Amino acid sequence: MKKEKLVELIHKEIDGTNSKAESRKLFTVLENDPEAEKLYRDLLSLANEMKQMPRVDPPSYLFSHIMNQVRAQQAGIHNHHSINLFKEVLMVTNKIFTGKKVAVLLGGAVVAVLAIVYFTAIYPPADTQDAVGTIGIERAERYRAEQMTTEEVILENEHYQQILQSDAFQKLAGSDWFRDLARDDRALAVFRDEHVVAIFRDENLLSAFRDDNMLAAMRDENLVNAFRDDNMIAAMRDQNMIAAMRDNNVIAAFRDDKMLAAFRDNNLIAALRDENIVSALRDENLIAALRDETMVQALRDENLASVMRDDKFVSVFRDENLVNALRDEHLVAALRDDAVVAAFRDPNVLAAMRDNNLVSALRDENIVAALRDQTLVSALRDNAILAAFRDDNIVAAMRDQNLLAALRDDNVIAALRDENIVAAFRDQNMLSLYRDNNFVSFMRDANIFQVARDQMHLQQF
Amino acid sequence: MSTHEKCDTSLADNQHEATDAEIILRCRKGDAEAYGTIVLKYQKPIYNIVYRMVLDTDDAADITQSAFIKAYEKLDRYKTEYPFYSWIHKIAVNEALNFVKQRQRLVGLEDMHESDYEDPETEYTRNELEHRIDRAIAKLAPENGVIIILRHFGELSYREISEILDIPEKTVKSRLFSARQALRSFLQ
Repeated sequence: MKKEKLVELIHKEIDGTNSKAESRKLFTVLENDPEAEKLYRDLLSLANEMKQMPRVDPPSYLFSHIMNQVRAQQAGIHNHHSINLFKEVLMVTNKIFTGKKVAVLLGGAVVAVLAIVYFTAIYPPADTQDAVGTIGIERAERYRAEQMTTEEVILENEHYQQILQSDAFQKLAGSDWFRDLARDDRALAVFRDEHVVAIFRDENLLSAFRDDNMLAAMRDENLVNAFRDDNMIAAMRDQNMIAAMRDNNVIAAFRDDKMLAAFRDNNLIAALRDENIVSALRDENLIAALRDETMVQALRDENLASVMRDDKFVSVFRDENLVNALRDEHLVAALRDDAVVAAFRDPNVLAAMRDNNLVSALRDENIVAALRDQTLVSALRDNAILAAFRDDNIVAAMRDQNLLAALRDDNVIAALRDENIVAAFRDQNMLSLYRDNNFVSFMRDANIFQVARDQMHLQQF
Repeated sequence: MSTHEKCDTSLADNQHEATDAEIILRCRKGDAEAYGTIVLKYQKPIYNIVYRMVLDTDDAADITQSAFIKAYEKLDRYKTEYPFYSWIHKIAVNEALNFVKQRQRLVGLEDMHESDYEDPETEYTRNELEHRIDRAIAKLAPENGVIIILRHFGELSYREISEILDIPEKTVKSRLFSARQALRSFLQ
């Protein structure tokens, strides 16, 4: 018998797993192999010694400790996840306030607990009735957060105990939404992300999070759920997005109650969770536009905010073609233009943006393609054109295929920038005329434009 | 039939499995008290295994407590077609292994082998043989030591150990056999 097989049979005999035949075979060999026989005897003796070692009774308190925790958890009073989450948050704040005094660290911790929780978070308000009771910091908790290392020193000190036992923390820990958050691996991963940590280093942003309007918005269940969306979480971790979040103008917009009201709207939130929209929001050019002061001013406009909440408008922005258009650097540059921004704030333009015809036009492939056309975009920044765009008839005409094709023509664009042409465009007769195929074809003729741009000819026309 | 299945406190026979599944279903429906039956049934075997791994009564109690709470929190993930004992053992063993590895990193392997892992009160009451065996097991790699403990103190079969550690039965046997021989040489 090979040595390996013999050793295996010895071990199996000790474990009582040999068949009768295997046992007989083993003992026959052992009779003639003193070395193997000694191994068997030693191992058997060791096994017997271990078997005779006394089994230890668990401490009498163990059962009640476990059951107390189970009952408390069931009642929603105590949740170890809350403590773990708190530890996570404290770790984050430790990174944020590194080098500052402990008092600052802990002060910051409280702010960050609220800020991070509200930020990612899950609202429904904490039930103060459930917050009664004590957080039992039982010893077992320290095995629950394996990532704790040197920083645990901070958590073990008296300040940690004070915070854990504070009313504020108990309210947090006792609430369903906090427990849900603590169980959400994705949310926890966000807390650990260095870019997200960087956000919370920003004093302006932290201050914004303490703003009543912001806090009120962050308590909105829909918004909170939007922030738990995978797309949104990915966006939140995007460097461009994070840079935007730290921008003073953006922060100002976030603190604006009209803007926040818009962001609490279900339609807009649905758009925010849309993969295409989120992807556009992460685009460097668009982010740059969102950080532009004039753009932010426009976004804070009551009328615009109300448009942003309109489901038709929102549905436009969920259109893949349009989203792609929004990522075009030329279009984005146009969006940042003072004149365009001013137009956005014009009640007529805003009303037009909610118009079914325009909305449907904006989703039209040709229009979208036109919106990305550099010359057209440049024309769009022209005050006269913008004025024309506020005209109802123009808006209706905008949906005409021929016109749309014409709109992409450089010559047409050049003409479109002419104030007189624009004035003419607003004329009812003209509007019906330029929807005519022949006229469109005529309009695309370069020579015609020389004529058309002549004021005298235009007047006669 | 495995050694584990043969013992009086068998956790794996069909009747117990069915009972465990029923209890778990009650817990899932919000009956927290039902979990007490599970705790009473398994706290001693779990505590003993954990104790042999960490060799400290307080740490063993903490880890056992943590394992039961973790199991309770994750009850919705437990599949009732599998034995509960295997699941709770798996959670407890992982907790204890993490603890042992973390302690090894913090204390240093050599220092720990000498005396740091025992509290004086526990040491005082134990006989010399027990002390020697515990020290010898602690010298093994944690992954091998746990197999010795599960086999000889938990009285679990190869199959049960393989389920708990998520390794093939063949690996269980090879690790167990070599660990046992290493133990023998440590004790000589």
